[in-house]
Amino acid sequence: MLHENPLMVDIDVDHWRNLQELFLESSKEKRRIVLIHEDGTLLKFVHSGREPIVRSIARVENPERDAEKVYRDNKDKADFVLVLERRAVERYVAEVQDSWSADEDLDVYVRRMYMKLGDYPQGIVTYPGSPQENLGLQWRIGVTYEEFRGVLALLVKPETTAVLALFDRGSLWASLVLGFNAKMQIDLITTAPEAEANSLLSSDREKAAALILQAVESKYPRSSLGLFAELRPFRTWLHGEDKLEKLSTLVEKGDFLFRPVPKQFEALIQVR
Amino acid sequence: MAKTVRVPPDAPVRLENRRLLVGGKPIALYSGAVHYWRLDRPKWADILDKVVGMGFNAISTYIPWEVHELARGEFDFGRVNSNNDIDAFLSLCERKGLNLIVRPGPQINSELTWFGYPRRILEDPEMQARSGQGSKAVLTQVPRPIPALSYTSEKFFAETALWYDAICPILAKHVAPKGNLVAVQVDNEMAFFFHINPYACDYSPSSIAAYRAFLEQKYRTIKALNDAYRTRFASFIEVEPPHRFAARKREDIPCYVDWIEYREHYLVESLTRLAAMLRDRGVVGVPLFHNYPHPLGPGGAASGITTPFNLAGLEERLDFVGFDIYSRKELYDHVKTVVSYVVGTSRFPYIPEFIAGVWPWYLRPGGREDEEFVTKAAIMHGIKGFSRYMIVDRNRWLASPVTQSGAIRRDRYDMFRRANEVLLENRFIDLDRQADVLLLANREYDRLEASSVLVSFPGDFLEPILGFSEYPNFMTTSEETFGFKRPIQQAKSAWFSDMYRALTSAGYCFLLGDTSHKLEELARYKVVLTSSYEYMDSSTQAKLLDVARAGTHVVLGPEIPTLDSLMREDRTLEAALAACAPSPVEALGQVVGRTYPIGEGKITHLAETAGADLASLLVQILKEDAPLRVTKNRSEVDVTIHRGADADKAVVFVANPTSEALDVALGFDRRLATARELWEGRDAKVKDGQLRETFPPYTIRIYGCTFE
Repeated sequence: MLHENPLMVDIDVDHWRNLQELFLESSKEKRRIVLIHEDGTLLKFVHSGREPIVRSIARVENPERDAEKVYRDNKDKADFVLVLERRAVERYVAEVQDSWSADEDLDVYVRRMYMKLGDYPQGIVTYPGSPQENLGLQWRIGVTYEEFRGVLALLVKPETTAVLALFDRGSLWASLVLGFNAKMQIDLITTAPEAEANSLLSSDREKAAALILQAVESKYPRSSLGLFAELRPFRTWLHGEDKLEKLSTLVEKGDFLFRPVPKQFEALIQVR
Repeated sequence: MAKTVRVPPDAPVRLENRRLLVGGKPIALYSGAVHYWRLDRPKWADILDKVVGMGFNAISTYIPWEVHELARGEFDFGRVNSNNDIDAFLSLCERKGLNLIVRPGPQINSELTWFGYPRRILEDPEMQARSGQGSKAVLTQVPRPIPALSYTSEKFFAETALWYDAICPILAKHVAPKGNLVAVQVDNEMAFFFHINPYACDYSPSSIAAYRAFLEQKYRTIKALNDAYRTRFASFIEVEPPHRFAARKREDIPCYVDWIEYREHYLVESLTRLAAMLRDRGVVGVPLFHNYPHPLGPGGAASGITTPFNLAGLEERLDFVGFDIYSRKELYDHVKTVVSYVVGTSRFPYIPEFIAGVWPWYLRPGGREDEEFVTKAAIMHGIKGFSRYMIVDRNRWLASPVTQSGAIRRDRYDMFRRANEVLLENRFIDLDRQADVLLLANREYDRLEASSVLVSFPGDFLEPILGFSEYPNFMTTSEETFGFKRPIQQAKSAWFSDMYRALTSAGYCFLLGDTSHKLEELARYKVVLTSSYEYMDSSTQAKLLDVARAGTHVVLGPEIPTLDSLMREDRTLEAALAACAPSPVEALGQVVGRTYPIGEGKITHLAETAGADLASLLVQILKEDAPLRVTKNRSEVDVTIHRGADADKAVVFVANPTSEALDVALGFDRRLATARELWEGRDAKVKDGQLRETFPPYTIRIYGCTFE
C-alpha cells in the first residue's frame, strides 16, 4: 500500500501531531507488567513504571492463564501483562526478519510482523487482549487493515487524492491528503496546503471544503474522496460500531460532509 | 589498518583548544543542513540566502550514493539531473561565503528509501549482516524496511570504493584553502543500523572472523583467553561469540563483555577504514568526523552514551566525534547528558545533527518552543558547533524554518536567527564552560549491562514491537547477582542517576565522561566520581590511584574492588587505601564511607548512601576541594557558567526544566554586580549579589554577568 518512494512534503506539524494523537497508540506508553522466562523459569517480573506489584506466580506453567492471574492480582496497576519466552522471541524475530524482501511494501512487512505473533501462542502472550492488539505502535483507525484496503478500493479512484479535514470549534484541527498511484499505492502524504490560512475558514463547512479542495487540487491530483468533519463526532464514530449505518445521520446533522461524494455513498447518505 | 587518519598538526583546517581553526584562525561553526538534490536548482541561491539570513556561516549536506548512482560504477553529477550537480552547489555556497561540511556516506539514512545505498547493495546477501539467530538483521524503517549491512564485508568496502572514487575528486577541489570545505563526515550514525541490542547484529562470517582477530589482539595467546574464559579452546578459530545471555556465575562474564567490547571495536575499525579510503582519494587536510546516533535511554540517557559507542576510542582515529540530538523540552536531562558527555570527552564538542524540524515518523513532534529550549540547553552545556538538521525542508521532513520552495516559517526562522545572533554577538567561540567535577559512566559495567539483555530484537524506527527501548534497561536486563552483593548491571544505573541528581541539586558545575578517559583528561578536574563494585579492570584501578595521587579527589563506591575484569584477585586499589590513614564520612550519625589521603589528592569511598541526603553529603565531602558551585534556592534549577579571558565576566545559563514556574535566587563564587539577559535583551534583577528572577515553566535564560 505504501509506495517505495512516497512524497511526504509540506506537512503541517500541528496537524501531523494531532493526527498521531488521533490514530496512533503506543504500547511503550502503556502500564505493563513484564514477565520474561526461559522454559518456565522466571528471569524478569517487573512493572514498566517500577510500581510495586504482586508477584503471584513463581514459574510460568501456562502463559495465558498465568498472564491473566497476574493481571487480576494486580488490579488497576497495568493496562496489560506481557509474558515472553526467550527462545520463542528469538525464533519469532528471526522468522520475521528472514521474510524480508526489497519488493514488499512496508505495510505488508509490518502486517506480517503482527500476524506472526499468532504463531507463538505460548511464547508471546498478553492479557487482556492478544499481542496483535496490544503490542507495538497500534493504528486506531476504526477498521482493520483489510477493511481499510477494501474501503480505499471501493471509494478512491487510482491517480487521485483522498482528503480528510477535521474541525474543532471553527478551526482546522488536522488535515491529511493521501495520493494514490495507478496501482493504488500511496505515493503522496501531506496535509492541506495553506493550512494556516485555512484554519481561519468560514464556519460554512461547504465553503471550507471547497477552499481546501481547491488548495489541494492546485498542487496535487484531483480528489475522489473528501471527508470534512467535526472532530468530536468523528472521534466517536471512529471508535464506535456500525460505522456505515451512522454515516447518514452524521451527514444530516452537518457533522460530516463528503465532497466529492463517491457514487457508492450516494445511496447511503443524503446528498446535501 | 591505519592507526589514525587525523589531520596533521599543520593542516589548513585543524582542531586546537576545542575550536576549529581555518587558516590558523578559530571559526564558529554554526551550520544548517540543506539537501541540494531535493531542491529545484533554480531555487538554490534564494534558499541559501535565507539560510545566511538566519546567521548561519556554514552548510552541511549529505551526498547520496543512492541518488547519484545510475548503475554500478556509473554516476550522475548533473549530467542527467541538474539538481544532482554537487560541484555547482558547493561552489555556489562558497560564493555566498558559506563554509562547507559534507557527508558522503556511504550510509546517510536521510529518510531515503534505501538509507543512502543503491538498492542492489542492500539486496546482496554477501554484504548483509546477520543476527544472532542467523537471520538477516532488518531495520523497520519508512518507507521500506532494510537489512543491515556488514561493515566487515570486503565486498562492501570494494563497492563503497567505487562510490568514493567518483565523489572524492569533486570534494578534494573544495577543501580549504582551495575552497570552503572544512569538515567531512565519515558514514552516518553507525550503530549496526540501530540494532543496538548486542545479539541482533552482526554475526556474519566476516564479522565472526573479525571478532576472533579482536580477541587474538586482546589476549595475544589462546592460553590467555582460556585462562580468562575458563575454557579449553585449541585456537581462536574455535571461539564462538555468545548469541544470547546465559551467564550464571561471575567467571562467565568476561566472554559476554568481550562481545560488547568487540562491537565498539567493530564500529571504530570500520569507520577508520572508511576514513582512510577518503584520505587515499584526496580528501586530505580537512578534519574527518562521525556522528553517533542520539542515545535516548529511559530517563534521559543514563545508558547509551557509552557502549556500543566509544567516542574517545574513535577520536584516536578520527578528528572529532559527536552525538546527534533530537529532543523536546520535557527531556532536558537527555540534552544535558548527551552534551555534557560530548563536552567532557570530545576534542571538538559538535552536534552533527541538531534538531530543526523532524522526520514524519517521529512521534509527538515538538513546536518552536521545544526547539528554542533544546537550542539553549545544548549551548548551555557547552557545545561549540552544530549543524541544524534540517534548516530547509525536503521530502520526508517537516517544520524546518525554510520550506522547500524558499518560503519562511516566521516563528522558527526568527528563533534560529536570534540563537545565532546571541552566539555571535557574545562571541561564544571565546568562552569555555567551567566545570571542576567529572562524573564518569563506568564503561565496564555498562558493557555488563548491555550484554545482560534477556531478549533480542531488531531496531525499529516506528516502535519496537515488544515495547522495549533498544537500549538496555531494567525491563530487559538480567537480575543475576553472579555472587556479588547486588546485580551490578542494574545497580550502576541507579548509582549514576543518584550522583547526577545530587550534583545538580547541590549546584555543582559538572561534565560527564567515562572510565576509558585517559589519565591526563581525568587529572584536569578537581573531583572525579565513578561507580565501583567488586570487580574493576586493573588499568582502571591503577588510573584512579594515579589521578588521585596527582591531586584529584576521586569519589567511588559502593564497593572497593578486589577482583579485576577477568574475575581474578586484584586488590591494587584496596591495598593502596589500606596503607592510608582514612577519616570517616558521616551522615545521619552513621559512618557511610571513608576518605583516604593519597599523594596530592584523596579517594573517598562511599559505601552506603541509602537514606542519606546525597547532595548534602557531597557538599560535606567536597568542601575542601571547593569545586565551582552555585548556591540556589531551588534544587531543580540548573546552572552553567561560561568564562573567557576576562575573569570579572561570565555568561551564566539558568534553566527551569520543570513544568512549574519557579522563583529563583542564585549565588555564585563571587558577588554578582550586574546581569543582562542576552536573548531577551533586558537587564535582570540583582539583589545582594544574587540573581533573582521568576522563571516560567521550561525556560532557559542566558545572562551576561559582571562580578564585583
